[in-house]
Amino acid sequence: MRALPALRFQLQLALALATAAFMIVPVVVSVLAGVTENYFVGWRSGLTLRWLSEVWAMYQSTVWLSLRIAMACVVVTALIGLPAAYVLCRHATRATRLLEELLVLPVAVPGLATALALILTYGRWQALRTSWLFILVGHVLFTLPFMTRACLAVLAAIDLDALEEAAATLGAGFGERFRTVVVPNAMPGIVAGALTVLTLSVGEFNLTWMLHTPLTQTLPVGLADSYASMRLEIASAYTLIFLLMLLPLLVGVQVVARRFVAGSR
Amino acid sequence: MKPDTVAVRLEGCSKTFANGHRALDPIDLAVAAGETLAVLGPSGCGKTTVLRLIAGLEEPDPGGRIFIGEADVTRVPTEQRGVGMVFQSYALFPNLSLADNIGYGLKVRRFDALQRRQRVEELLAMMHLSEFAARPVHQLSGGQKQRVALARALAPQPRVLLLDEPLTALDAKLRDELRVELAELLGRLQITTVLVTHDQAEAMALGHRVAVMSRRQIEQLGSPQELYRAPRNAFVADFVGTMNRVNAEQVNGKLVLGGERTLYFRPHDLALASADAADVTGLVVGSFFAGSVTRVIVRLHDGQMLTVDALGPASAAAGTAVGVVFNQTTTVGTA
Repeated sequence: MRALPALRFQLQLALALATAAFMIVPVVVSVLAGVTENYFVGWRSGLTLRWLSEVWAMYQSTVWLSLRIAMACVVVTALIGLPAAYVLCRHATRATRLLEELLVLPVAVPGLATALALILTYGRWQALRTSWLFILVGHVLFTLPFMTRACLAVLAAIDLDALEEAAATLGAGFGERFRTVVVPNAMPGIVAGALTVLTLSVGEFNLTWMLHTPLTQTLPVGLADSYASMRLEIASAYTLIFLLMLLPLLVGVQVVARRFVAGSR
Repeated sequence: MKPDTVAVRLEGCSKTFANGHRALDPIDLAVAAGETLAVLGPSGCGKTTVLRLIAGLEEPDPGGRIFIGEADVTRVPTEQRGVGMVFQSYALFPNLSLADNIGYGLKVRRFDALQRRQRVEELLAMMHLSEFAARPVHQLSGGQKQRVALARALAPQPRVLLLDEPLTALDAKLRDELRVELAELLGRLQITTVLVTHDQAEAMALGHRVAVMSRRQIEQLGSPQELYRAPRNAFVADFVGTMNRVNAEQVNGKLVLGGERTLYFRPHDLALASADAADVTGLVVGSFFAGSVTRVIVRLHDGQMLTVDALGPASAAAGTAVGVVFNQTTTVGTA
């Protein structure tokens, strides 16, 4: 009987490892394919960095564009999302709750539909249509709910009314209160929202695929392009570059964010 | 009285919220310069609304006017009224240290760094908080938070100090200590103060005058002694101190139970006596020894209950037959 708990633990561990392997193995295979001389021959063909440098030469611009859009997206969603969350929090009525629900709509609606609507409405303005800002608009539309909700969760957890009233009795007008009370206390929400927005924006494909032009290819769109038209090894090397770019970025932002939140306390 | 103290006056101020809820019937209230006025009442009586009207956190219904000094501030926003307020929840800024909380009002008013530091240090010393200056707010005890909230409100030297249940959130022992501290501080600062509380001991100890409120109105405004000795109506009589109500008549100086009239007696105006010397007799229900007095609860033979404060340690076990002497009635209202 005593052996039973041990056996149960081993079965659980095996299941957990199998599940993890099921998810991680394809990534490893794909990454390895990117550094293999010839994937169809396999290991015996030897390892190489050739594909990586070829991808970098061809698609470098997509990496920078993706980063630029992601950063801009974080800034814009924070600038819109925090005030929106503030209003939803301070004026919690049935109307604002409905608004809050509507805000999630762009997440539920397929990206392709959103993109089509954007193109139909604004597509005729050539300057906008061909600019990276057009993709930014799509990304902001898609990621804004995540920023707003993250800020809202944090603001709802503190007694914002009382804090603002206290600041007012101490002589702070609206602008001052927003700057010195609302923003610092919403910072953990802004940081959490920024991480989500950054991740979603860098990986976004549906919308971007519709909104991009040959001159405004983002990383995921470039990836699709390489899968469709290049050797398998090139596409796999591209995946590797994606991971190499994304992981340090996310870890770095986490570290900076944690320090920032700790510092503001 | 310091020359820069100001009076506060409310004229015909009522408050009806957007959802139609009436929080306050039209009231007139005048607080003299340098005075501490305690507004006392049960929850929901509108006392906090009075405070928020003075602070400018609520606007009175049309017709109501609020004066601070000679100026009509009815339309002046909170941040320009020069009032300091201590909130019931303290509402300390969680993102700032203790010292930065106190300095907030000075920073907002653009005091330079040196002045700010001096004033903050002065207040930290005054509130015995110097050693905690760098602490984040969430590491403070309840009593410390209360003192920080008070120091923060006082830092910009407001003309009027508003205290919303300043001691309610503390445990009993700390509340007694801080009540003494607060009374001493208010006496020293001589700043015009309005204090809102549901605790009559707090109101009586701190207020030069006390306004007793119930159901959106002021029932009586007077010194603590006036309220205690001559309550204007049954509500005030019951709310301020403990009061016995007895249905009885006084016939030839003797008390006869029963009848339509209600007589009022403070517990210390009653005394225990032997049955033959007493006005009335009854059975002891319980007794609570409290040091200088023993509070004895007596059920009279017609079922009415009395609370008697007997001097010293009275031996009155439950079930004992006792007599009660009525020394002095308290006159309530004009009756």
